[in-house]
Amino acid sequence: MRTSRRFATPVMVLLCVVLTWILSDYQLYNLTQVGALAIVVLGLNLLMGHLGSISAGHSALMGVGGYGTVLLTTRADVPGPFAIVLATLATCVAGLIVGLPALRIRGLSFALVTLGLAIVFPELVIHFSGLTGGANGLASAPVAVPFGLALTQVQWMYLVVAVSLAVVVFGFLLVASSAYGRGLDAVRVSEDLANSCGVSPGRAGVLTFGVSAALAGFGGGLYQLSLGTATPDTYSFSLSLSLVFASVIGGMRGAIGAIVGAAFIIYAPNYTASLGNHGPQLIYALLILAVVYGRRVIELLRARRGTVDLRVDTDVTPAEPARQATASAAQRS
Amino acid sequence: MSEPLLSVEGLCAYYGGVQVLRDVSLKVEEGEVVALLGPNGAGKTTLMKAISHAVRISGSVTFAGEEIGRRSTAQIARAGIGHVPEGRGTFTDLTVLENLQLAMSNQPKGRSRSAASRLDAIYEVFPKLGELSPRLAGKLSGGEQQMLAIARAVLAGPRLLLIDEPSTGLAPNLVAEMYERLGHLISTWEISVLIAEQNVHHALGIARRAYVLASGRVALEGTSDELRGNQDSLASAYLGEGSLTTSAGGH
Amino acid sequence: MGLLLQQLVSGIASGMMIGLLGMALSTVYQGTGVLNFGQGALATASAYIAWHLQQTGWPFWWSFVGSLVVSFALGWLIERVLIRPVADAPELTILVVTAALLLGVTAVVGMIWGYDAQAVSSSFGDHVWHLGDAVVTAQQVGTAAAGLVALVILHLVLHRTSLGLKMRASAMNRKSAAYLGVNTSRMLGIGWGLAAAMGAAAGIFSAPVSQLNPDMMTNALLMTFAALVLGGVGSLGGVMIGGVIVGVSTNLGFTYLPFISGDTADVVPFVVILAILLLRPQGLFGRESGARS
Repeated sequence: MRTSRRFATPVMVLLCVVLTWILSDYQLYNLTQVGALAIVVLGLNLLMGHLGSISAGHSALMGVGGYGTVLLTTRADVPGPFAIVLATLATCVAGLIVGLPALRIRGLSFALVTLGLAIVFPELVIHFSGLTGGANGLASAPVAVPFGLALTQVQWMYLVVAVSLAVVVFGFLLVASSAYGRGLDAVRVSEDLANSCGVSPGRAGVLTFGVSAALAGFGGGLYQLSLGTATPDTYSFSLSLSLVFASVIGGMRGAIGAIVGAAFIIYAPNYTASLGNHGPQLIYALLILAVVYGRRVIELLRARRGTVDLRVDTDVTPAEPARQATASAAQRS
Repeated sequence: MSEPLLSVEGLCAYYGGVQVLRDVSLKVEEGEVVALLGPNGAGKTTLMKAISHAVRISGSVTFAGEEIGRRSTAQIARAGIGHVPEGRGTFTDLTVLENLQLAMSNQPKGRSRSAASRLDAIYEVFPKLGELSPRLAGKLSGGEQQMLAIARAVLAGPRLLLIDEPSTGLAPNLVAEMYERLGHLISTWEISVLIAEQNVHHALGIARRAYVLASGRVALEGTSDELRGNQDSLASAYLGEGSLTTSAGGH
Repeated sequence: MGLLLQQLVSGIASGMMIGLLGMALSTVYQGTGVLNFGQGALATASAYIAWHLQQTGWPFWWSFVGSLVVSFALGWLIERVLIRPVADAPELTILVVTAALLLGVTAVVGMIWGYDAQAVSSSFGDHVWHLGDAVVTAQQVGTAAAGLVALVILHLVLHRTSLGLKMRASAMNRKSAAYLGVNTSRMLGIGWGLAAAMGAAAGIFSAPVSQLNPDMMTNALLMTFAALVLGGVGSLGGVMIGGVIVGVSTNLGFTYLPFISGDTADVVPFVVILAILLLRPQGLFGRESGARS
């Protein structure tokens, strides 16, 4: 598995690079957004699929990265790449600060706090309109294609995002299979288990939220640069929901899943919107349900594999270990 | 000559993809107290859950002449099988009285004693519960909770009572007291009992017959006297010697 | 002084409806173990149903009852069809399903009735009272009264009936309840139905104030969660009180804190949530009981 992965990855990266000259600007634009969001979803996967936490607030973190980047490039004349790095750092710090309550709050309660962040963020952006341009948004300085390369802005952004994604994926895979990554899995399964292995769940939570936030900020900065003008309703609660959808649809773990999920939340709404005026949101919701239930059916079938019985009453309360077995089978997939 | 009250044949049970009970057969006659012995992990709790259909099973479970293996847990309870689960399972945020009232709200068919008289009868066997009735169940001690769990299950009026490891976590003197009350209860109410118990001494004291489970199978069976007299085979059954394939044998 | 009283009154009225929706959330949370992100959307749909019935000529209170009945059925149906298949899945999966419910129901409402806001007349007539400088409308008084009535009815059902006992027990410990012969799946369905009916009432009485639009109750999502967290799980009255506190403090925030305006309305409930979770996680009146066991 590792060898073929090691071989496949450079090939895929090469393929993505080559696409720059094959696809139209519009198609590249969509892929750029997919790539930027995939980086964010990877961060979310680390938090949700590996650590087992729930965050409904990553839109706010993306917003810090996105707005941070635009503010730095327009108001402080910081060149693009540095702006993104700084914005990423700022988001990471913000994430660490938010993550601190993680030491005391867990599970759904923590999700609620992040939900609050997601809802409050656009409101704060609008409120501080002097700084952020309020509801009308902040126009961003155009992205400069360096060294006079014969590329359009869109093509250049695409390349930047593609390479960034490749680097992030590589890092993600390293981390996920490292001791730290396994520590996260331990915390997810059982905090007592983690403690007995010398992994502090509280500290792991804060650290992971920081990393996840950094990725969200980075992806947000890239996303924003490809969008142009920064507006508060880009970073709304519904973006947070979409990010969670993307993570869950992709399986919550693994790099491919993140990319698939990101692709879903970019392309599916486009597709359903093309079907007519009123249907899109409903069909989108139904699609999500279809994927979730489909995965569930597969999980259940896998958990049952290799055993005899087919007679089970649907009214039965399943035993505790079965539930955990199913859950961890899901996490492993 | 008459049919046993409970008859289990070729029962297998599964947690997800893991098989935990292998081909278990046993029976409980009307009016009997039967013990289920065996070491930790042998499958005693799983067997109890299997009878109540709280785990996935294959095989046959017959109760009062009817095949109940496909029914839901609640349906099986209403058919007359009470279950005192491992860990007591009291509703910690309900009062003692509410716990008991819940039991009375689902009378199985054929039992007609009036609610108030049943409650009084229970309080006679467990007077402590009467004193504690307005207290939240979660605030009771382990021994009191065990009493509550048993009282509650009995109050529902079952013909067969499954009791899963009632002595777990109780101090020895409490265990003795509990078994004394249990014995009294069984003789005054018309209940048959299948009791899973690691404590061989108490179990054989109250039961007429016993099965020894090991690694998900019945390793030994016999009357209490037979088993008490045959310490060697009892010990080896517990230790799994001469037994069989390894594998999971979760509770 | 008049302004303060004004804000208090309107805060209490809107707070009661937030509390009522919060009670619905609490009921679902105790039974299924998940926060139903779509509860507000359902409540909005119920409000539209009542409004629609009124448009076809039904008198208000018949529309109210009709909507409650339909909402109960909807809630029951949703539990059966959407939630049951994933009942034992990880929390996040169920959350995603409720989030999809939020999107789907809002979309359907928009499709059927349009996205423009509709003005809805008061449910209780147009009488006003004057308390000094403050103006108190019949809508506000009626809403507060309705909230109290709902609380009393629910308390009686849950704590004084056999059905209520079974519902509470099923929510606390499904397995033990099943061992006692309780049909726990039916209890779950009833729980969701009841929650939907509560939400319906909250939505219907909020419509005259918030104007009927597809996002009506979902806009109050954070405030509703704040009410739940403040009141604590396990105490219906506590959630109601939590709702009132959130409603009143948000209104007072509008008036007295320059920072808080219509744009930043959600800052107050957010701070409330954060403070409570850090200082007293079980809420003011809640018990430590978790959701499923």
